[in-house]
Amino acid sequence: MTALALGLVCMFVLAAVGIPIAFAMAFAGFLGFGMIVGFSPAMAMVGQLTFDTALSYNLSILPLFILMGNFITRARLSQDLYAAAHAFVGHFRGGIALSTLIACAGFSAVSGSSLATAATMSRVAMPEMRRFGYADSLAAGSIAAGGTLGILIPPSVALVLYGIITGNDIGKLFMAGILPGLLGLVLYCAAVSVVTFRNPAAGPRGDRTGWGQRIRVLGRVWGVCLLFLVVIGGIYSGFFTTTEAAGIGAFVAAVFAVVRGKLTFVEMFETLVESARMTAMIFSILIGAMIFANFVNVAGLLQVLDQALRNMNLTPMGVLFGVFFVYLVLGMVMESMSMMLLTIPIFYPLVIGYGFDPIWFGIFVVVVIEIGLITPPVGMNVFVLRSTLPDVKTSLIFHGVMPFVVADIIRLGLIIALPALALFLPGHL
Amino acid sequence: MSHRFTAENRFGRAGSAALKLCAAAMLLAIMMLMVVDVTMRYVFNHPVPGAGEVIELAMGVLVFSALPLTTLRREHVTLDYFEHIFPEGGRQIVRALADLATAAIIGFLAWRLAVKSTTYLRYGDTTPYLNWPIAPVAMFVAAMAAVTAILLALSVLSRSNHGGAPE
Repeated sequence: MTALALGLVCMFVLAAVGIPIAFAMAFAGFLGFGMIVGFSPAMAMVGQLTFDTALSYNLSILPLFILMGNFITRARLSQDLYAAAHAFVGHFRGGIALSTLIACAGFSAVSGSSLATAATMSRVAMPEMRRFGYADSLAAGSIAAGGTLGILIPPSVALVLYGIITGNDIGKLFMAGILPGLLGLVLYCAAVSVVTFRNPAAGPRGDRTGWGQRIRVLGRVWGVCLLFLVVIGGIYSGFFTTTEAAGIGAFVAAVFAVVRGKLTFVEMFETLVESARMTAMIFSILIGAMIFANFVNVAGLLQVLDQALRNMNLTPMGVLFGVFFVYLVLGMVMESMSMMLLTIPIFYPLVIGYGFDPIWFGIFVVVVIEIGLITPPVGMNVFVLRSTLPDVKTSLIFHGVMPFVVADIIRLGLIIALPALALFLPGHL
Repeated sequence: MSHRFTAENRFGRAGSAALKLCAAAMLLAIMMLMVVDVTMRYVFNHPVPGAGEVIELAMGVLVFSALPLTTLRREHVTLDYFEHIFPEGGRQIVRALADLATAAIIGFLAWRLAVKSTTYLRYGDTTPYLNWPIAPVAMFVAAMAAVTAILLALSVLSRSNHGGAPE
């Protein structure tokens, strides 16, 4: 019990003074594990675990999906995605905001980064929304929130990490993410409609586009559609494994970027190096989190928590609400990926013990983390937007994001009430 | 954020170029190997023998050749939320101490990896199908962790010598 407390405190203190979370978790995990099991096995565990994690075929899915996303970002198709969405929905009330949301969903799904989405889409969509006289809060809010849509739409790095940590089938998790991801887009669009219904001046209509032009702009985003089809279709049909899908997806994205004339040899090299650096960053956290998880397991944190929960006589819903609350609090100070890797080893067995479906819980966690990306005080997406739009106040962006937070909470409620939203598609895999 | 190699000289730049080249080559190789493997499997009904093993070894080289780059560019995820609790002057010192502690942790890891890689060497562990030895990759992994730790520590010391200029 003392080792457990010491390990947890040590982890947070080290992280708070600025040691990268990965190494704070690794050290605290090692220390705690050593105090309970002995330092000789702890030292062996650290070496073995690092090699097992780094030299892994299955984990090559991470660098490959990262590479795919970076190639897509290099292909500079945010403009084309936006134009395609605008051609179809621009003439509705709040149409430019709707187009932004759709383009954000498509871009963040394939690029895998909500931060990159918020950064690039703000340059494309913000001038457009200003030109049509959109309220800054609605404009900035829809970009910040739109960036989070892709986290759940496959291929999703968050779901890959969840699958790795919990040992669940990543292909099934991807399938489970599709409907809730699309539901998110629908609800976000509904949020725009509500805002512009109450205040039509906040989001006027754009120009209507003819069908000829619509087909033409759609032709420019073939790469995204192809990528989606290849990766998801390939996994769903069983044509290749999830890991192979990542490799093929990265290759198709590279070809797409080259064909569009957006990828020189030097840029290709830079993209590879950049992806490798992100890989090292993610693997550091992964290894640190696994060492820490080993400590948490031998320290019996699970039993302690489980006993406490049983004593409280909570219903399964009460437990779920508790988990939600913990994520909201942690989300105030922690970045989403490390938060997920730190908490999943603890929450997963607990929640599964209360009878929730493992795949379903993955979707639940990712939606909750998504909410954390746009809520104060640490809404990463909001801060990214703030740096690309220096003339819009942070408070105004947070204000504009609120309707989307409400949409997210409605979505969370729907996913809880109708687990089939997540579980229908993977049931057919 | 700019590159901050301790030895800001030709040696440092050559080293970083070599690491970049190594990491990029590994990632490209992993991607191509997978594409070729799947293509061969479906078109010629003959997957690339041992592709998975080569990818495993390449993964180790990929992750650890990129580790010095990531670490020296301070690209690891940190909780910078609490930074403001330290006064302006103390912040520099706290950051330097945090970097040194990080270097120590990575250095400790390097030691454990080195010990483990000597057991790979002693038992002559190889990959199951191609019989490629694992020890060279394991030693590379340990060496890169050591390089990361040393460069990170040196970067703190050189920074304090230059009057502690922040990034």
